[in-house]
Amino acid sequence: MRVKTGIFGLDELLGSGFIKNSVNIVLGSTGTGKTIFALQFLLKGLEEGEKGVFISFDMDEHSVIGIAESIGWSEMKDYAKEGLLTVRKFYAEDISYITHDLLTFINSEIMGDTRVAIDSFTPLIVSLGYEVRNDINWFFSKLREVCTSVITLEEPLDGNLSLPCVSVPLFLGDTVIHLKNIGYGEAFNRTIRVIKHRGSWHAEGVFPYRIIDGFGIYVESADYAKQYEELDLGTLLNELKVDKEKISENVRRRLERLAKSKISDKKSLITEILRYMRIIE
Amino acid sequence: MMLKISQILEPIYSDPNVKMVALYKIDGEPVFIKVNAPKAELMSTLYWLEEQIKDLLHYIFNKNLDEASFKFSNIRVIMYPVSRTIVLSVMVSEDASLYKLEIDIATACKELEEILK
Repeated sequence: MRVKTGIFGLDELLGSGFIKNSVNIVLGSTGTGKTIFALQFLLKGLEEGEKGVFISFDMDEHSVIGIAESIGWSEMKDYAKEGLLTVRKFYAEDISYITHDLLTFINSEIMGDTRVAIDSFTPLIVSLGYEVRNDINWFFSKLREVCTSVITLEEPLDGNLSLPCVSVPLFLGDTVIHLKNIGYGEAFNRTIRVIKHRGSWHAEGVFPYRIIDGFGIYVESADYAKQYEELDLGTLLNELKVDKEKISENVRRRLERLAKSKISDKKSLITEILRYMRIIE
Repeated sequence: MMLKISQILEPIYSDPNVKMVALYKIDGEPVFIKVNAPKAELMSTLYWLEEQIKDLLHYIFNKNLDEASFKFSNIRVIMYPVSRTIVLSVMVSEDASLYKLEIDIATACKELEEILK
Protein backbone atom coordinates (compact mmCIF):
# COMPACT_ATOMS: atom_id res chain seq x y z
CA MET A 1 0.00 0.00 0.00
CA ARG A 2 1.27 3.46 -0.91
CA VAL A 3 1.33 6.77 0.88
CA LYS A 4 1.27 9.94 -1.22
CA THR A 5 4.34 12.02 -0.48
CA GLY A 6 2.59 15.34 -1.00
CA ILE A 7 5.57 16.54 -3.05
CA PHE A 8 4.38 17.54 -6.52
CA GLY A 9 5.90 15.21 -9.10
CA LEU A 10 7.69 12.91 -6.64
CA ASP A 11 5.13 10.09 -6.49
CA GLU A 12 5.72 9.50 -10.21
CA LEU A 13 9.39 8.89 -9.47
CA LEU A 14 8.61 6.46 -6.65
CA GLY A 15 6.05 4.27 -8.41
CA SER A 16 3.08 5.99 -6.65
CA GLY A 17 4.61 7.23 -3.41
CA PHE A 18 6.20 5.94 -0.22
CA ILE A 19 5.41 2.46 0.99
CA LYS A 20 3.07 2.52 3.99
CA ASN A 21 4.85 2.04 7.32
CA SER A 22 8.27 2.77 5.91
CA VAL A 23 11.14 4.97 7.05
CA ASN A 24 12.06 7.47 4.37
CA ILE A 25 15.30 9.41 4.54
CA VAL A 26 15.67 12.84 2.96
CA LEU A 27 19.32 13.83 2.68
CA GLY A 28 20.37 17.36 1.84
CA SER A 29 22.70 20.13 2.82
CA THR A 30 21.58 23.46 4.17
CA GLY A 31 19.09 25.32 1.97
CA THR A 32 17.84 22.36 -0.03
CA GLY A 33 14.33 22.36 1.45
CA LYS A 34 14.41 19.43 3.88
CA THR A 35 12.12 21.12 6.40
CA ILE A 36 9.71 22.11 3.64
CA PHE A 37 9.77 18.52 2.40
CA ALA A 38 8.92 17.25 5.89
CA LEU A 39 6.12 19.80 6.35
CA GLN A 40 4.70 19.14 2.90
CA PHE A 41 4.63 15.40 3.65
CA LEU A 42 2.71 16.05 6.87
CA LEU A 43 0.36 18.56 5.20
CA LYS A 44 -0.67 15.97 2.60
CA GLY A 45 -1.54 13.55 5.40
CA LEU A 46 -3.48 16.21 7.33
CA GLU A 47 -5.46 17.04 4.18
CA GLU A 48 -6.34 13.36 3.91
CA GLY A 49 -7.50 13.14 7.51
CA GLU A 50 -4.35 11.61 8.95
CA LYS A 51 -2.52 12.71 12.06
CA GLY A 52 0.83 14.53 11.78
CA VAL A 53 3.74 14.61 14.22
CA PHE A 54 6.71 16.91 13.65
CA ILE A 55 9.77 16.36 15.82
CA SER A 56 12.67 18.77 15.83
CA PHE A 57 15.83 19.17 17.86
CA ASP A 58 16.34 22.77 16.76
CA MET A 59 12.95 24.42 16.37
CA ASP A 60 9.98 24.84 18.66
CA GLU A 61 6.34 24.82 17.56
CA HIS A 62 6.29 28.57 17.00
CA SER A 63 9.27 28.42 14.60
CA VAL A 64 7.95 25.40 12.71
CA ILE A 65 4.50 26.95 12.24
CA GLY A 66 6.27 30.15 11.21
CA ILE A 67 8.10 28.31 8.42
CA ALA A 68 4.83 26.70 7.27
CA GLU A 69 3.15 30.11 7.22
CA SER A 70 6.02 31.64 5.27
CA ILE A 71 5.36 29.12 2.48
CA GLY A 72 1.65 29.89 2.62
CA TRP A 73 0.44 26.90 4.63
CA SER A 74 -1.39 28.90 7.30
CA GLU A 75 -3.77 25.97 7.86
CA MET A 76 -0.95 24.16 9.67
CA LYS A 77 -1.61 26.43 12.64
CA ASP A 78 -5.26 25.37 12.68
CA TYR A 79 -4.32 21.72 12.45
CA ALA A 80 -2.02 22.21 15.43
CA LYS A 81 -4.80 23.93 17.40
CA GLU A 82 -7.19 21.09 16.64
CA GLY A 83 -4.62 18.59 17.87
CA LEU A 84 -4.26 16.92 14.47
CA LEU A 85 -0.69 18.19 14.17
CA THR A 86 1.74 17.89 17.04
CA VAL A 87 5.01 19.78 16.90
CA ARG A 88 7.52 18.93 19.59
CA LYS A 89 11.03 20.16 20.22
CA PHE A 90 13.37 17.72 21.92
CA TYR A 91 16.78 18.47 23.27
CA ALA A 92 19.19 15.92 21.85
CA GLU A 93 21.32 15.91 24.98
CA ASP A 94 18.26 15.20 27.15
CA ILE A 95 17.40 11.97 25.43
CA SER A 96 19.20 8.79 26.19
CA TYR A 97 19.53 9.22 22.49
CA ILE A 98 17.09 7.28 20.40
CA THR A 99 15.71 5.02 23.06
CA HIS A 100 12.60 5.35 25.11
CA ASP A 101 11.94 9.10 25.43
CA LEU A 102 11.49 9.72 21.73
CA LEU A 103 9.75 6.44 20.99
CA THR A 104 7.41 6.75 23.97
CA PHE A 105 6.43 10.20 22.76
CA ILE A 106 5.81 8.99 19.19
CA ASN A 107 3.74 6.02 20.39
CA SER A 108 1.65 8.32 22.58
CA GLU A 109 0.86 10.51 19.55
CA ILE A 110 -0.21 7.75 17.17
CA MET A 111 -3.87 8.04 16.20
CA GLY A 112 -5.00 5.91 13.25
CA ASP A 113 -2.96 6.64 10.13
CA THR A 114 -0.17 8.87 11.34
CA ARG A 115 2.73 10.53 9.56
CA VAL A 116 5.83 11.35 11.55
CA ALA A 117 8.57 13.73 10.44
CA ILE A 118 11.87 14.04 12.30
CA ASP A 119 13.69 17.15 11.12
CA SER A 120 16.52 16.62 11.45
CA PHE A 121 17.81 13.35 12.86
CA THR A 122 21.42 14.55 12.67
CA PRO A 123 21.72 16.35 16.07
CA LEU A 124 20.64 13.14 17.75
CA ILE A 125 23.32 10.95 16.23
CA VAL A 126 26.06 13.32 15.10
CA SER A 127 28.43 12.43 17.92
CA LEU A 128 27.86 8.69 17.66
CA GLY A 129 29.81 6.06 15.79
CA TYR A 130 29.06 2.88 13.84
CA GLU A 131 28.25 1.04 17.07
CA VAL A 132 24.80 2.69 17.06
CA ARG A 133 23.77 0.84 13.93
CA ASN A 134 21.77 -1.73 15.89
CA ASP A 135 20.06 0.98 17.96
CA ILE A 136 19.08 2.96 14.89
CA ASN A 137 17.88 -0.22 13.22
CA TRP A 138 15.78 -1.00 16.29
CA PHE A 139 14.37 2.55 16.34
CA PHE A 140 13.47 2.40 12.64
CA SER A 141 11.78 -0.99 13.08
CA LYS A 142 9.67 0.46 15.92
CA LEU A 143 8.76 3.44 13.73
CA ARG A 144 7.67 1.10 10.92
CA GLU A 145 5.28 -0.63 13.31
CA VAL A 146 3.28 2.53 13.96
CA CYS A 147 3.65 5.08 11.18
CA THR A 148 5.03 6.21 7.85
CA SER A 149 7.90 8.55 8.54
CA VAL A 150 10.17 11.05 6.90
CA ILE A 151 13.53 11.58 8.54
CA THR A 152 15.74 14.35 7.30
CA LEU A 153 19.53 14.14 7.45
CA GLU A 154 21.98 16.98 7.11
CA GLU A 155 24.54 16.45 4.36
CA PRO A 156 27.94 17.73 5.49
CA LEU A 157 29.09 20.77 3.52
CA ASP A 158 32.20 18.90 2.39
CA GLY A 159 29.93 16.20 0.92
CA ASN A 160 31.45 13.44 3.05
CA LEU A 161 28.69 10.84 3.23
CA SER A 162 30.85 8.20 4.88
CA LEU A 163 30.42 9.65 8.36
CA PRO A 164 28.42 7.20 10.50
CA CYS A 165 25.79 9.84 11.32
CA VAL A 166 25.03 9.98 7.59
CA SER A 167 25.83 6.55 6.24
CA VAL A 168 24.12 4.44 8.94
CA PRO A 169 20.62 5.93 8.50
CA LEU A 170 21.10 5.85 4.71
CA PHE A 171 21.76 2.11 4.83
CA LEU A 172 18.92 1.39 7.22
CA GLY A 173 16.18 3.60 5.75
CA ASP A 174 13.71 2.13 3.25
CA THR A 175 13.89 5.04 0.85
CA VAL A 176 16.65 7.58 0.38
CA ILE A 177 16.00 10.84 -1.42
CA HIS A 178 18.89 13.20 -2.08
CA LEU A 179 18.22 16.92 -2.42
CA LYS A 180 20.97 19.11 -3.87
CA ASN A 181 21.32 22.83 -4.30
CA ILE A 182 24.38 24.01 -6.21
CA GLY A 183 23.52 27.66 -5.61
CA TYR A 184 24.34 29.05 -9.06
CA GLY A 185 20.76 29.50 -10.24
CA GLU A 186 19.47 28.08 -13.57
CA ALA A 187 17.15 25.14 -14.20
CA PHE A 188 19.27 22.46 -12.56
CA ASN A 189 20.17 24.54 -9.53
CA ARG A 190 18.12 22.32 -7.24
CA THR A 191 17.97 18.64 -8.08
CA ILE A 192 16.37 15.58 -6.53
CA ARG A 193 17.48 11.97 -6.92
CA VAL A 194 15.96 8.80 -5.55
CA ILE A 195 18.93 6.76 -4.37
CA LYS A 196 16.92 3.77 -3.19
CA HIS A 197 13.32 2.72 -2.67
CA ARG A 198 13.23 -0.75 -1.15
CA GLY A 199 10.73 -3.17 -2.61
CA SER A 200 9.71 -0.85 -5.38
CA TRP A 201 10.65 0.54 -8.73
CA HIS A 202 12.01 4.07 -8.69
CA ALA A 203 13.14 6.50 -11.34
CA GLU A 204 16.83 6.77 -12.20
CA GLY A 205 18.62 10.05 -12.72
CA VAL A 206 18.39 13.55 -11.34
CA PHE A 207 15.37 15.79 -11.70
CA PRO A 208 15.17 19.56 -11.28
CA TYR A 209 12.87 20.88 -8.57
CA ARG A 210 11.70 24.26 -7.40
CA ILE A 211 10.30 25.57 -4.17
CA ILE A 212 7.17 27.46 -5.09
CA ASP A 213 5.47 29.91 -2.79
CA GLY A 214 2.16 28.45 -1.62
CA PHE A 215 2.83 24.98 -3.02
CA GLY A 216 6.25 23.96 -1.72
CA ILE A 217 8.47 21.52 -3.55
CA TYR A 218 7.62 20.89 -7.19
CA VAL A 219 9.61 18.23 -9.07
CA GLU A 220 9.72 18.44 -12.86
CA SER A 221 8.98 14.82 -13.66
CA ALA A 222 5.94 15.03 -15.93
CA ASP A 223 7.64 13.96 -19.15
CA TYR A 224 9.66 11.20 -17.44
CA ALA A 225 6.60 9.11 -16.55
CA LYS A 226 5.33 9.27 -20.13
CA GLN A 227 8.34 7.28 -21.36
CA TYR A 228 7.42 4.28 -19.27
CA GLU A 229 3.89 3.43 -20.25
CA GLU A 230 2.85 -0.20 -19.91
CA LEU A 231 3.34 -2.54 -22.83
CA ASP A 232 0.70 -5.04 -23.91
CA LEU A 233 2.52 -8.39 -23.90
CA GLY A 234 -0.14 -10.18 -25.99
CA THR A 235 0.17 -7.63 -28.78
CA LEU A 236 3.96 -7.81 -28.72
CA LEU A 237 3.95 -11.63 -28.83
CA ASN A 238 1.58 -11.52 -31.81
CA GLU A 239 3.80 -8.95 -33.48
CA LEU A 240 6.82 -11.21 -33.00
CA LYS A 241 4.80 -14.23 -34.19
CA VAL A 242 5.64 -16.14 -31.04
CA ASP A 243 4.21 -19.60 -30.57
CA LYS A 244 2.68 -19.06 -27.11
CA GLU A 245 2.79 -22.79 -26.40
CA LYS A 246 6.57 -22.47 -26.20
CA ILE A 247 6.34 -20.10 -23.24
CA SER A 248 5.95 -21.71 -19.84
CA GLU A 249 3.57 -20.28 -17.26
CA ASN A 250 6.44 -18.97 -15.12
CA VAL A 251 8.17 -17.25 -18.02
CA ARG A 252 4.89 -15.72 -19.16
CA ARG A 253 4.26 -14.39 -15.64
CA ARG A 254 7.73 -12.80 -15.58
CA LEU A 255 7.28 -11.31 -19.04
CA GLU A 256 3.90 -9.86 -17.99
CA ARG A 257 5.59 -8.28 -14.99
CA LEU A 258 8.35 -6.86 -17.17
CA ALA A 259 5.81 -5.49 -19.67
CA LYS A 260 4.00 -3.65 -16.87
CA SER A 261 7.17 -2.39 -15.22
CA LYS A 262 8.62 1.08 -15.59
CA ILE A 263 11.73 0.09 -17.46
CA SER A 264 12.80 1.89 -20.60
CA ASP A 265 12.98 0.07 -23.89
CA LYS A 266 10.85 -2.88 -22.69
CA LYS A 267 10.01 -3.98 -26.20
CA SER A 268 13.60 -4.65 -27.25
CA LEU A 269 14.41 -6.15 -23.85
CA ILE A 270 11.55 -8.68 -24.11
CA THR A 271 12.55 -9.45 -27.68
CA GLU A 272 16.14 -10.10 -26.55
CA ILE A 273 14.97 -12.36 -23.71
CA LEU A 274 12.78 -14.38 -26.07
CA ARG A 275 15.71 -14.71 -28.44
CA TYR A 276 18.02 -15.75 -25.60
CA MET A 277 15.50 -18.39 -24.55
CA ARG A 278 15.33 -19.56 -28.16
CA ILE A 279 11.60 -18.89 -28.32
CA ILE A 280 12.18 -16.69 -31.35
CA GLU A 281 15.07 -16.55 -33.77
CA MET B 1 12.40 19.15 -19.16
CA MET B 2 14.16 15.82 -19.87
CA LEU B 3 12.00 15.24 -22.93
CA LYS B 4 12.87 18.69 -24.27
CA ILE B 5 16.57 18.08 -23.63
CA SER B 6 16.34 14.72 -25.36
CA GLN B 7 14.61 16.28 -28.38
CA ILE B 8 17.22 19.02 -28.64
CA LEU B 9 20.10 16.55 -28.47
CA GLU B 10 18.47 14.06 -30.85
CA PRO B 11 20.26 15.37 -33.99
CA ILE B 12 23.58 14.78 -32.23
CA TYR B 13 22.99 11.30 -30.86
CA SER B 14 21.22 10.09 -33.99
CA ASP B 15 24.62 10.20 -35.70
CA PRO B 16 25.95 6.60 -35.51
CA ASN B 17 29.47 7.92 -34.95
CA VAL B 18 28.38 9.62 -31.75
CA LYS B 19 28.85 7.12 -28.94
CA MET B 20 27.58 9.14 -26.02
CA VAL B 21 25.97 12.48 -25.29
CA ALA B 22 25.74 13.80 -21.74
CA LEU B 23 24.97 16.97 -19.84
CA TYR B 24 26.96 17.46 -16.65
CA LYS B 25 26.19 19.88 -13.86
CA ILE B 26 29.00 21.97 -12.41
CA ASP B 27 29.13 19.62 -9.39
CA GLY B 28 29.92 16.70 -11.72
CA GLU B 29 26.47 15.12 -11.59
CA PRO B 30 25.14 13.92 -14.96
CA VAL B 31 21.66 15.30 -15.59
CA PHE B 32 21.21 13.64 -18.97
CA ILE B 33 23.02 10.74 -20.62
CA LYS B 34 22.37 8.92 -23.85
CA VAL B 35 24.72 6.08 -24.75
CA ASN B 36 24.67 4.89 -28.34
CA ALA B 37 27.20 2.08 -28.22
CA PRO B 38 27.49 -1.15 -26.22
CA LYS B 39 28.51 0.10 -22.78
CA ALA B 40 31.49 -2.25 -22.61
CA GLU B 41 32.98 -0.45 -25.60
CA LEU B 42 32.98 2.87 -23.76
CA MET B 43 33.48 1.69 -20.21
CA SER B 44 37.08 2.75 -19.75
CA THR B 45 36.46 6.20 -21.25
CA LEU B 46 33.29 6.60 -19.16
CA TYR B 47 35.22 5.70 -16.00
CA TRP B 48 37.92 8.18 -16.95
CA LEU B 49 35.29 10.86 -17.50
CA GLU B 50 33.59 10.09 -14.20
CA GLU B 51 36.92 10.38 -12.37
CA GLN B 52 37.93 13.60 -14.07
CA ILE B 53 34.67 15.41 -14.63
CA LYS B 54 34.72 17.61 -11.52
CA ASP B 55 38.24 18.85 -12.25
CA LEU B 56 37.48 19.29 -15.94
CA LEU B 57 34.37 21.32 -15.22
CA HIS B 58 36.25 23.43 -12.73
CA TYR B 59 38.89 24.13 -15.35
CA ILE B 60 36.39 24.85 -18.16
CA PHE B 61 34.39 27.32 -16.07
CA ASN B 62 37.32 29.03 -14.38
CA LYS B 63 39.40 29.46 -17.52
CA ASN B 64 36.34 30.41 -19.61
CA LEU B 65 37.15 27.77 -22.19
CA ASP B 66 34.95 27.65 -25.29
CA GLU B 67 35.51 23.92 -25.54
CA ALA B 68 37.80 21.15 -24.34
CA SER B 69 38.73 18.06 -26.30
CA PHE B 70 40.43 14.79 -25.32
CA LYS B 71 41.62 12.16 -27.73
CA PHE B 72 41.91 8.50 -26.78
CA SER B 73 42.93 5.66 -29.06
CA ASN B 74 39.76 5.67 -31.17
CA ILE B 75 37.44 7.93 -29.21
CA ARG B 76 37.33 11.67 -28.85
CA VAL B 77 35.58 13.40 -25.96
CA ILE B 78 34.50 16.96 -26.64
CA MET B 79 33.07 19.26 -23.96
CA TYR B 80 31.20 22.49 -24.52
CA PRO B 81 29.91 24.75 -21.77
CA VAL B 82 26.21 25.37 -22.40
CA SER B 83 25.48 27.71 -19.52
CA ARG B 84 27.04 28.91 -16.28
CA THR B 85 26.47 25.49 -14.70
CA ILE B 86 26.03 22.93 -17.49
CA VAL B 87 28.52 21.32 -19.85
CA LEU B 88 27.63 19.24 -22.90
CA SER B 89 29.90 16.27 -23.37
CA VAL B 90 29.99 14.29 -26.60
CA MET B 91 31.94 11.09 -27.19
CA VAL B 92 32.61 10.35 -30.86
CA SER B 93 34.47 7.75 -32.89
CA GLU B 94 37.29 8.62 -35.27
CA ASP B 95 34.95 8.40 -38.25
CA ALA B 96 32.72 11.23 -37.12
CA SER B 97 32.51 14.36 -39.23
CA LEU B 98 33.69 16.98 -36.75
CA TYR B 99 32.48 19.79 -38.98
CA LYS B 100 28.90 18.47 -39.06
CA LEU B 101 29.08 17.75 -35.36
CA GLU B 102 30.20 21.26 -34.53
CA ILE B 103 27.20 22.72 -36.35
CA ASP B 104 24.80 20.33 -34.60
CA ILE B 105 26.38 21.08 -31.23
CA ALA B 106 26.29 24.84 -31.74
CA THR B 107 22.57 24.63 -32.62
CA ALA B 108 21.84 22.38 -29.62
CA CYS B 109 23.80 24.60 -27.23
CA LYS B 110 21.82 27.63 -28.34
CA GLU B 111 18.50 25.82 -27.79
CA LEU B 112 19.64 24.32 -24.48
CA GLU B 113 20.75 27.73 -23.24
CA GLU B 114 17.15 28.90 -23.62
CA ILE B 115 15.59 26.16 -21.51
CA LEU B 116 18.36 25.84 -18.93
CA LYS B 117 18.29 29.48 -17.86
